[in-house]
Amino acid sequence: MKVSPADLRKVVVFEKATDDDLQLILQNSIDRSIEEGGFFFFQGDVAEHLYVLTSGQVKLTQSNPTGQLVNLRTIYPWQMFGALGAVRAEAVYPANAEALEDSSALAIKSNFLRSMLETRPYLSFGLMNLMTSYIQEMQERYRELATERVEQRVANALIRLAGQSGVRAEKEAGIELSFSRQDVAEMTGTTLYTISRLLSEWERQGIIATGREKIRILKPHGLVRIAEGLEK
Amino acid sequence: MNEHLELLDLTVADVLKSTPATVKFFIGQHTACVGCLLSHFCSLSDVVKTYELDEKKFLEDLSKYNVQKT
Repeated sequence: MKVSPADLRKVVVFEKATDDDLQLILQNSIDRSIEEGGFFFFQGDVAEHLYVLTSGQVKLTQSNPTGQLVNLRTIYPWQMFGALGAVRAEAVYPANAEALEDSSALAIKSNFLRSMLETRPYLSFGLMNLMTSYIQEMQERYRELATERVEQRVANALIRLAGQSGVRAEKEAGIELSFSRQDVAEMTGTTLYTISRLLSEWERQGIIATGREKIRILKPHGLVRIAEGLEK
Repeated sequence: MNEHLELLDLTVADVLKSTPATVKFFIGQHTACVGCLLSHFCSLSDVVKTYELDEKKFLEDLSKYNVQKT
């Protein structure tokens, strides 16, 4: 896919960039395509490039020494990922970036962007913006892990996913999410067994409907009620 | 009446965005809409149904806020 400067401006960090800067960034980057199931990078690799997804979907996961995976977030087109090399030389990627479907991304040289950062405040602010929103989200997730009951945690995860990537096909069809039970389990630090038990219970109550790798939210407010422990 | 139907079709997110003062309205109706991540999926008629509100009263209260239909 040929990326134009105008495309690049869809990336939040580059919103305020000049055409010349965007051209410069494009000249210092390459296109990379990864097939479904392949990886853009692995946790622990030297962060030589930062990426802007141009098509497909990428899952960021982190693994502990015993190999258990935690889902950190999903990246959609025109979002940036693996950007910490632009801020810190010698950085390594803190997560794996796996293509959930055939995906393409623009790989920008980290040290090139780092040199641009020194003279362009808009880039620093853009990156700070990205990072603070990550930190906020992680703080919320941490609070949930520390304080909430498991059904609240799972309901919150579904609401967050719906808010970020949910699709409403038709008015009465509910909000559709393309995630498996395993995905939700990894995201909430629970087990597949717990997720299955909760989803079946909610399906019985008519709050959601489930299918293969699909969850449909039929009563959004039902989930909000569970997530927040509301009476009504 | 037609005008009211149109209004009920707006999503909560659209109303809050176009007319931020309605934050007070939604809180006043004792809904959890303000700050809800799913507010762009729910229309005002969904809100009326979900909370079993009186539609006439709901619209009457809302009319004080002069909601922009953009």
